[in-house]
Amino acid sequence: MSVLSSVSRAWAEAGEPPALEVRGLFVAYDDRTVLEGVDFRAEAGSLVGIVGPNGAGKSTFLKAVLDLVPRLSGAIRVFGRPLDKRAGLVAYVPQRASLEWDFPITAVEVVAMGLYRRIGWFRPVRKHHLRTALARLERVGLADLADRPVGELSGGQRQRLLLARALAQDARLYLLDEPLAGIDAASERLVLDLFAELRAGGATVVVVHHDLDTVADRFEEVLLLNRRAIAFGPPSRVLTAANLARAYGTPVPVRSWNDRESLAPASSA
Amino acid sequence: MLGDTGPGIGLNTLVVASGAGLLGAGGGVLGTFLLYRRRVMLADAAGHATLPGVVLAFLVGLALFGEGRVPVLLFSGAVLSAASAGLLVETYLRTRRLPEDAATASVLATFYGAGLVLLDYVQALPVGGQAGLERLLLGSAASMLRAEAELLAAGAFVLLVVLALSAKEFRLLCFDPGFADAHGWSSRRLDLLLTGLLLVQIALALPIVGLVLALALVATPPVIARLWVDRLSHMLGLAALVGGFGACAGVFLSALLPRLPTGATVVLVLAALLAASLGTAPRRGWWAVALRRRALRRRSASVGGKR
Amino acid sequence: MIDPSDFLEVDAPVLLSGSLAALACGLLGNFLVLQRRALVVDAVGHAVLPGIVVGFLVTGTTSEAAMFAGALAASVLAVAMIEFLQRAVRIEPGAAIAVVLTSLFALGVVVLERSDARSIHLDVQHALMGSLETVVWLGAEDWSAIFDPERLLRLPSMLVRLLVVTVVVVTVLFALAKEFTMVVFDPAHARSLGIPVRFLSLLFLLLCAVTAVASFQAVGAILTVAMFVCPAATARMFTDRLRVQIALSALVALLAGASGYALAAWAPLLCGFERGFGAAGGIALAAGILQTLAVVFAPRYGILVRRERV
Repeated sequence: MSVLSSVSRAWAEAGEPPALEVRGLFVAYDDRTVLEGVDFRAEAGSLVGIVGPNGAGKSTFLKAVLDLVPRLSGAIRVFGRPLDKRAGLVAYVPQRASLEWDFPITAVEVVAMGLYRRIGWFRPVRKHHLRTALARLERVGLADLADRPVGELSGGQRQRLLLARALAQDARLYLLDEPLAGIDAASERLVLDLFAELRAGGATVVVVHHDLDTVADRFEEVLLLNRRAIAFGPPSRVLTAANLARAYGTPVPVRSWNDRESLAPASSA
Repeated sequence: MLGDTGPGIGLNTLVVASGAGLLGAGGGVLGTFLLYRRRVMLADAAGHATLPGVVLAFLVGLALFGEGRVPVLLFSGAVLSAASAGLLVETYLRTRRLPEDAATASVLATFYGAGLVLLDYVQALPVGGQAGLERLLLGSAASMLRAEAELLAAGAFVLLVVLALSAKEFRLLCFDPGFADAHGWSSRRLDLLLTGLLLVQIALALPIVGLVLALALVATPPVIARLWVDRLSHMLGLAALVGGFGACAGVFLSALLPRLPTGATVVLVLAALLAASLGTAPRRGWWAVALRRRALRRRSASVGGKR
Repeated sequence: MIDPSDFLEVDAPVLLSGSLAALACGLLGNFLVLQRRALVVDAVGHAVLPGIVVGFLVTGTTSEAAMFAGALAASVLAVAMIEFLQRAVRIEPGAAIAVVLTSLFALGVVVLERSDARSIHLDVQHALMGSLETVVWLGAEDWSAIFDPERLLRLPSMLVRLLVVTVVVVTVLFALAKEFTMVVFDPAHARSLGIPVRFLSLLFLLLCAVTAVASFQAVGAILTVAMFVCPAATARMFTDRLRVQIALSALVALLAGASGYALAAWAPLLCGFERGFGAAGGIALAAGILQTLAVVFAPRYGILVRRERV
């Protein structure tokens, strides 16, 4: 893993544009600001976490990056291109809870939604599309449940299902909103392995994450967010007591960094 | 009948107006609790679902007294009918296959359809007084019987008293139903009481506002109040004031001007108050929000300008 | 047996109009129920009244196009107002719907009463009960009328309108079923794929509004709600496949149309009344009875089975 990420780093130095670059992002809902001038940069092939307290604007950040919520100002580039040219490059996994799970649809049909760009307007989903979708379900270990209505899946299974749908998009940048929240250990293991696999294939993964204790183990770079970008960089430098106190407004106990050093990815050391 | 002498304000109009005012105040208080319990549309279902019960009560009246329009009977029919609609909604929800709004909508429309069929049946009967039934659809203070006006005033007064006595418990229910449960007030029972009071409110409102618009008396005043104040106790007071004023004003206006149906007038008075509040309320009004948004845009432009 | 003249002139137009209204509404209802917007249709239906009245007052004619346009505009306005209220006051959708529905309907009633509009064939009664009974196919005395182009031209306009609307609804749903499914199931993901979610939502809303307006003229504001919600809700009790649910809902809608008409129009005649009752109420009642039967007896999700399993 570390070899691969240093390769991608080398590419970055050779002038490949970053997978995602955000400058001066400013977002407001009605008259309430949610993000105030956030800068962010994810190099191609990296695994980046976004952390911060509730209501810090983490989800909004992802949505703004995808043009799902209007920006007051800010420039966004995906692989060096403007947002309207991002088609096919970005896959988005929204928060599990934001979906209408009580819906008469089967798991494999949901995954086929990821093939939308290949199927096209007006055309029906055909057999070979479903076969492709089934292959993606296999990658997340849900092939057995392909014909289940989605309402019958557990939280972890639902998360894996959404990942399979994102995989079906064959994107280069994956934006995931809280994929590790409230899922069982087996699903978590599977999701983390999948991130590694994606990076091995050269993809970039940006993950909104809630658990400070595990950030350092999992991400090589972290954005600490609370309406503004409090800090950005390797976890060991970002998650300092001072930064965390600024982000959360109160001292936050995190396991000491000395325990961490050995766990942190080599590339960030 | 009360309004036989034509447009104008007589003693009878005063009786109706004071009853309507009390009912409007009760509706404001009740509606505020409903708004917090996210159950305003229950009032819509209750309103429409009274129709079959009222028509059946009319038939019962005919059979027992030879007179269909017995206020107490019609009132009871309305309450029972709406209550059974509520039970049907609960039954639909027990399947966990239907969202609450769909369950509410289908019951509302079905009961109303049943009511229309029954209404057609009554109209095909060789008896008089059916015209009074159709009036329940849209309400008309002018054609209210003396007994109906008295029932309205008395009922609305009792409703207000019950609301005042149980306001403390309902406030608890709105803020923290779990806490209410833990302290010995079953939230389920309180919800049931709230629903029961709502049914009474709707049934009382039928003769003046009509079953289609009875909902407005509980729906609009709390929304107006919410634009101006934040605290629940202030909201309750303001909603009661607004509801009482709107209902009174509507009754007087429709008595003074020709061809102004009472129910619709009451609703329009409330709607006008809401429109004015939406424009001018200090923090949530359109004007205030627009000003703040402009300031925000300026700030973001200056922040973004450093690019 | 059935007298062809009676049947074709009186029964068939009403029966068909009611069934088509149920079918068009019922099909759209599948997505509407899943979107949790069943009650929005309630508001849209009530907004038709002021729309028609204002359409009449502005153009000064009773031309159907003017009224249709007014009704459509009012329906869309109602939805916009609901969304505005929800955001501006931060209240639940139900409360916003309640306020908008009553305000617009009251406006329609008052303007209607105060203007000359009520002297023509507009009145509140139609809004509340529909006017299915006014649909007759004059001159269709025998079965050959079905194949006679001249007499077909005299088909009642309401029936023709409902037929056109139904064809449009079926076509659009068939073409865009996949897109609508994605938009309802996960709008954020759909937008991230570049699907024009807002455009599709607006298209769907317009489709609902057009259907609601056409159905309003047949069965009135309130029973339109039953047409939209009951068939989909009934079908939902039987299946977990959207396509199956849509097909089932169409069947249920037609069944409700036919049995409702039989219940209201024919049954009273058999019981010795001189005329039948309103078909619109009958259809809504039939739809509700079918739904209740499904809720109680459906094989897997019905409450009887559910109780046994627990």
